[in-house]
Amino acid sequence: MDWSPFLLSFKLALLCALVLLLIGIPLAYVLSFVHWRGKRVVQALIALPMVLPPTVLGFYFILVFSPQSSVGTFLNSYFDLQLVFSFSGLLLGSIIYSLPFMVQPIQNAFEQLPNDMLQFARVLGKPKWAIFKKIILPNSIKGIATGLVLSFAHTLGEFGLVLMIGGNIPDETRVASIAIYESVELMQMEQANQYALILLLISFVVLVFIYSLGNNSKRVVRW
Amino acid sequence: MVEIRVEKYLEVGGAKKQFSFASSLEKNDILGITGPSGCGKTSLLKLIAGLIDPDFAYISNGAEILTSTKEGIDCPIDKRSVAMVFQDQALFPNMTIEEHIRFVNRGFEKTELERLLLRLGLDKQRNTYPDKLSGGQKQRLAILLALVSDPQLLLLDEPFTALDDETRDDVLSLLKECVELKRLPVILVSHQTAILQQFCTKLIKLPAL
Repeated sequence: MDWSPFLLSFKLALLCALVLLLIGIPLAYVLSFVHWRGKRVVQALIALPMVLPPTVLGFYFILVFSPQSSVGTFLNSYFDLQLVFSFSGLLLGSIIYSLPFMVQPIQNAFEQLPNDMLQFARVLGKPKWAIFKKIILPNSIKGIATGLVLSFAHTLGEFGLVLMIGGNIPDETRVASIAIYESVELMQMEQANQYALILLLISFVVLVFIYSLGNNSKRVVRW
Repeated sequence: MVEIRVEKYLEVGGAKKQFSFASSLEKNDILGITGPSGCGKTSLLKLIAGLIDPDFAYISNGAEILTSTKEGIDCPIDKRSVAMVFQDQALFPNMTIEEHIRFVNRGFEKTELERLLLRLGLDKQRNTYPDKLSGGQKQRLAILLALVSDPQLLLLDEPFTALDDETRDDVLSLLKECVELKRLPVILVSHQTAILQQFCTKLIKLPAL
């Protein structure tokens, strides 16, 4: 079996989850704790990939970053960067596509922290940065872990967007989901089955992990 | 002398009603505030602590002005040296008692801390997390943290609701001791008027809004 689509999928999902972690925490903080105009609009923009077909996102991605567009030309001539049909493009597309899966669990975790707890720390003389580091982050660890795992799994399983902006270039954009699609098209059902089974198992393990983070079994009440 | 004058429109039952308060405290005063539910007792403490924006306010701790809407002064919450203990013991679930204390004041004098822990009956629970503490222990820890933060004004919101009579008397005598020793002014909100009458040097009953 050719493992390279899986290695590429893992590389993409891991990089995407790590970049999203760096973007997601400050973004969730700003959305949870800072009042500013236009917040709802930004929130809706972040959540868009959850309701849009990936092809819509892919279409606009191509429109904006294709070598014929002004942005594409600029990136190509000044940074020697081509985003369409390349791994970097795939990474950028995946970051946008999986952004809500990172931001929302962290934002929910931040917003569930009791106001009194944060205010108590403030009136005890602690600056906001210390409270963020020592109270907000440690008490939101489940939300952060959920965001990390969800965005990893979501990137691992994406298909439409990858096909639109990455195509099917071996070792560059041919990720596991594309490899399954190609195998089926070529009637290589056994190989497609192997790929599909592995993706299925990974997704299942990821979901079991997320649900065990919630620790729901302890909440069952006798009645 | 601590000086407090505040005005704020508070929302009560869907309508906005004006809340006003004016009083002053000497260095070793314990000011008791009582009144019916929803009369603005907790809001008053939050206004003093800087947790609610006032419509009008002049708050001074004697040494400096903390809030003056007229002069555009609004000292940041963490720089006011006004510690407040909340009604529902807002502790930090990820920290043990000892970690709480180290977080609030890393350099707090060790022998004094040991004495306070012993005095509040928390010396054996120093490595315990808040979810394993009783309501009374949580309340005592919250008060201990407020004292450890070395405030110039201490605000207590219904601090005795989770305490049994014996612990309450213990906490009261500790507070009295701190007031006398550190000349720490305290504002204490409670619906238990009898305790306030016995403990406070000054008592104000807020009218219903």
